[in-house]
Amino acid sequence: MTLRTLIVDDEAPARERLRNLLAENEFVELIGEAKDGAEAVDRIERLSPDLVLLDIQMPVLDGFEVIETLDAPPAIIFVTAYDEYAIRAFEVNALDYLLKPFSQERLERAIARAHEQLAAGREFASRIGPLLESLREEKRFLTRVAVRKAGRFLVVDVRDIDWMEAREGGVLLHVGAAEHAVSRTLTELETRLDPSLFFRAHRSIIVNLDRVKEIVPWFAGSHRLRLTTGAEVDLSRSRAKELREILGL
Amino acid sequence: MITRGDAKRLLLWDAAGALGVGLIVGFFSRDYPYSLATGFAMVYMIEVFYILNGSLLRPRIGGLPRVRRVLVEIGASFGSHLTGGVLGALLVMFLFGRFTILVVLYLVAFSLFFPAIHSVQYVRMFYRELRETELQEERLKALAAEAELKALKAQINPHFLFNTLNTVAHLIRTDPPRAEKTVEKLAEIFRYALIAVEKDVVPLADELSFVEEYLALEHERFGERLLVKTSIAPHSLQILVPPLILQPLVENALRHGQSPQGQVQLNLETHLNEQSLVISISDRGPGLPTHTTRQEGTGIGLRNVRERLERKYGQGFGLELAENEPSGAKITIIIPKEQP
Repeated sequence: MTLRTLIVDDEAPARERLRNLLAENEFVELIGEAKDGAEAVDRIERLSPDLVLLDIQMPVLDGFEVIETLDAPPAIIFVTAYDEYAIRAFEVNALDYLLKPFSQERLERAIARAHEQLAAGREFASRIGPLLESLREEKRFLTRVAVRKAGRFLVVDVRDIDWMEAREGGVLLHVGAAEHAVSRTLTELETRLDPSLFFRAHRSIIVNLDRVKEIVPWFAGSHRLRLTTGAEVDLSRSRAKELREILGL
Repeated sequence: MITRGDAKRLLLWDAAGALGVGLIVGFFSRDYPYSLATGFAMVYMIEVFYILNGSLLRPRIGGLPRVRRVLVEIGASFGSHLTGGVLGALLVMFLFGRFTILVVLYLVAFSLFFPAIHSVQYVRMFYRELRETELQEERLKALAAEAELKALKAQINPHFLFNTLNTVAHLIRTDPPRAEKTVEKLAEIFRYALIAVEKDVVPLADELSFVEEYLALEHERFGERLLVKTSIAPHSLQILVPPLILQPLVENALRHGQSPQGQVQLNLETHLNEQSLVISISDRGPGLPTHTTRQEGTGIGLRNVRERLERKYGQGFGLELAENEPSGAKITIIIPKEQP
């Protein structure tokens, strides 16, 4: 079995180096390249590779954000020049990574290991959840979210999101006048967003704290939040107290 | 403040002291009632004044300079002992109707001996505090120096180093002459960074050629995605500036000034005013994040440069972050033409 492999790196020399080093590799069939995170998401969805060599620091979406955008990420070997937090997260979760500049031997070993694991039918996706969890512990919060719009990807800075609500099969992001659907759960998003920026106001709602204008009393002791954009969203009774504390009311 | 526990302890010790001294003096003078009464009267009168003095005076002198505080404490100790002693003596005279040499001895002992002991304690405390302050200051100085060094060290991003080495690893196979050039540039960059750290100021020309080398390497990595325009006022080249202030700003622009497609358009300009040198670095990226104000920088590099400039030049000089026209962000630094 050969691994259909995608190379993702924003630097042309780095991509070329990987291409050269892998040209003769018996396990690898190169099926394409991507030069930034959004392109990576697009190629992964269209080509569904077995293995991705994924650079971490990239424009538009970084390597981790690429993974978070994917519903079912393929096997991944992370590539980084220098990132102590990421490396700690990989170590903790026993994920393979390459440090630039890596040797041919090191690369071949990583590929062989990936091949072995894929041949044995070991799921890679199941190890991604804990990785994202460790990143949160390192205070690496989500800064951008990729959303699909008419067949292509649009990248939204999380600080531009006014509020988000759970919908059937995903979450609806409200960004100014626009609305974007993403296929993740609200709780998943909550665990990856910086709690100093976002607040779970209700079972089905997260608001951007920057947009909260006032807390309006509603029926029977419940409350609603009025946002600076004019929108009004539910605030559950149990969350109202915490919100007042956060806002210093 | 004196707590209940303190008061209890004081009263007991005073009683023990007055009893002890009274018994000894009584043994020699063969007049126990008189000597005991004198001892108790004086000791407690003194204590009353001493406690009053402590609780009334001490909260008020906390803000005084250290030397004056110690002098006030010593004066107050003598004052309260003398007042208490005299009142105690008067009380004994009133009770017994006689005044003896014994009372004078007590008065001298209590109102001079104890304050003298207090004085010694205060002076020792004074020196201890003084030494601690000096140690504290030395520690702070060491910390500041260390922070400065760290700031300078942090300015060549390890990420940049390893990515460049990766490029070199690639070029060695595909384009050896270019690999050679890249290694030479990398050496230049690190040599400059190491030497410049030691210097207080360098000519702007040196900083600019350092940035040029740095950008050449970044160009190797970014390829056509990086576009740099420079416009340097010729007379600005010899002006002295602190070392390693430009590169962090350029690096910041490369990191945060990318367009959604990952392109960077960098504009580096210098010009001279009457008093100052103005350097600006702008990009055409997404501009400042909504929550950033002009005053606060985003990255560590930016903050370091700002702090160093402010410490060195003070008011009216430093670093400013603003929106660029028509898009992107613009960093401006202003440095005096003549070094202070």
